[in-house]
Amino acid sequence: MNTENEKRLDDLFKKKLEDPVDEIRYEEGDWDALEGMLDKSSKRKGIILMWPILSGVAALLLIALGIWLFRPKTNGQPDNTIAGHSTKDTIIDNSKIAKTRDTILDKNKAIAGVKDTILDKNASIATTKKDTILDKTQTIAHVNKADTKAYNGHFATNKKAPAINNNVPQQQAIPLKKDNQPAYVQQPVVNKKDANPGNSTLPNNLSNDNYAANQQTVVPPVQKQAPQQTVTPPPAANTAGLAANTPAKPNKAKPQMAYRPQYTLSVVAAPDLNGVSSFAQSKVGTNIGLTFAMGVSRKLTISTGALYSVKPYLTSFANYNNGLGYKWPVSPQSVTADCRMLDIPLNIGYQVYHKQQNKISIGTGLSSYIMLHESYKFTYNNMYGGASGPTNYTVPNPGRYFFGVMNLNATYERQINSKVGISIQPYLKVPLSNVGYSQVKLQTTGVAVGLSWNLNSLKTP
Amino acid sequence: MGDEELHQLIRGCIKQDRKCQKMLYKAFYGFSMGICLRYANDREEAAEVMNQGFFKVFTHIESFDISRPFKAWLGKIMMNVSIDYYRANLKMAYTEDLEQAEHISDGDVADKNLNYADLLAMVQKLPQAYRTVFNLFAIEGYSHEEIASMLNINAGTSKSNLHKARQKLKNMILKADSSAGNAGYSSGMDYSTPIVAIKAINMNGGYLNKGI
Repeated sequence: MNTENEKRLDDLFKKKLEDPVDEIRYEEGDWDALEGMLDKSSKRKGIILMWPILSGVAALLLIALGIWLFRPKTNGQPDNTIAGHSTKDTIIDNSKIAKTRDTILDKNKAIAGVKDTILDKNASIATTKKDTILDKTQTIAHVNKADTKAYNGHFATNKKAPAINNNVPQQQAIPLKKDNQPAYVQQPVVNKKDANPGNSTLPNNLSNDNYAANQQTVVPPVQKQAPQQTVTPPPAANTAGLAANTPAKPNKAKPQMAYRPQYTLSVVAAPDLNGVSSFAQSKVGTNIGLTFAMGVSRKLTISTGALYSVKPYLTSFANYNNGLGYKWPVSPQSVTADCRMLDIPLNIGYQVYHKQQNKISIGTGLSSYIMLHESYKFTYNNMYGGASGPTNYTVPNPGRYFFGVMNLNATYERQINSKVGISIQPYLKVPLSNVGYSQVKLQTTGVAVGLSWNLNSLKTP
Repeated sequence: MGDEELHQLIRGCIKQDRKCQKMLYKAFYGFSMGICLRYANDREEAAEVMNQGFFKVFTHIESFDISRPFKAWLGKIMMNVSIDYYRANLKMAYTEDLEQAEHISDGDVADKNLNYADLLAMVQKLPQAYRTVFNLFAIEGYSHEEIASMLNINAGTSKSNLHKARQKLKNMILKADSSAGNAGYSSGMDYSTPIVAIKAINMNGGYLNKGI
């Protein structure tokens, strides 16, 4: 076939097939099919729009779960003690104690008129007749006969305890059996908060400290001793002061080995270089934002946040892909982009070095870009005074690009005090997918400088 | 459709107004289907591809620059969607030889009185790889280099496919001409491929996409 015939053949088809508008009949069924596609897509779009909200809720749940899982274990036990104590209060209230007898108190020495001392491997309980155990906080405890009655009543309910007669100055030692233990343990532990206003003289001012101290003191069972003969001075530890929330069973308490999660909030600022495919034509951008980090173990940290990011870049027109087929009258030489976005990273860090206040860790993760503004400037090669096309374009509805960028970073962190630290983080953002209207592989490198606050103290509980 | 009317429709489409979308769809149905039919094997596939194209249009309509010609933008989308739809087939090797066509003398193909349906049926009978190159070169006006980069083939393959496409088409035209010779021309084609387009002028109640 010669060239002329080829051209004729081409023209024949071109002429008839190029724009055959009148030849084609509209089919309603085709529109129905498209409408179905559009409906399905709008539902999916709804879910995508919900994504940031859903992820926020998920993050909050995760944090809440983290706090709940890693909370200090000691929190639970004082609650139990208080709960046990309130039972005791009720018992006393029920016995309708009206009278009280004065009790001699000493601020420094606790004189316990111990009728019977009950020892257990973990706890000792002193039942008192006229005197009671005093603590360093100058607690005044009033015990009277009626009180004793109350105790008697209570002991009686425990069956194992012999009846205590108010008029008999001496009482038998009450052997504490295992099945009675909970009731006895609860009795002497009284918190001020639980004091019944109507029974202000009741022996309910024994502090946890005193109780804990007594637990640590091994007091041999004393039987049939006069109250004055038995003096149980508060141990030195008492005056030294135990923490208010000392575990109720310190003998059993093990050293705290479990990791306590650290939550850190940081303000971060970062200058960086942005380029497409390489950093050859890179431009300087800026980032500023907040990050939140949660230490999940001694070595691992998960962090997220939001950074307002200005990413300008310059690239040759070859890298610019306007996707939906605008036919350029003249191809520009280069494109200058101005992108402003929210960078939402989700990173994991591994601590490789930790000595004193200095820490070094390496990290990786993914970033999502939520474009806020996207505009392009086109530069033409007008050396020969040639024609040019559009000079700029602002994307009306910039898109969202989830997990399209991989983060690689190394962090040096120095703790200034238990609350405040500074960090320097060189990083590289590697594109996994194309971002922006121009669909470019935008890579970034920079150094982030941060000031961080520990939301919980570094001290162990 | 005037520019103002078109821009109004586009604005409606940006707001995802279904009525505006349907009006735009109807207005450019003929134009879009005309493109997709040339790349497709049959009408059913063409409609599917066209709907994919319109789906892209409606979901990316906000990225259309209103100062540019809409029809060109739409046409490019339809072409790209068509190419993508058949992309897997574009590199298929065709071993059939074209010797049959070689000994047919060059006739004046342009003189043959063939209508749109006949010519479309011929194009649709071409293997996918030939058809795509023929469409892009002869109808859309791209060079072999451009076609090569669009289809991710090399320019030599593009030239070869075009040559084979032309040979086949010429063969079909000459056959059609000889078979139509006795009956006078009305519809000389007896290809088994279903006629995919019907002259709208013969249809009652059909939507006519005039003037766009």
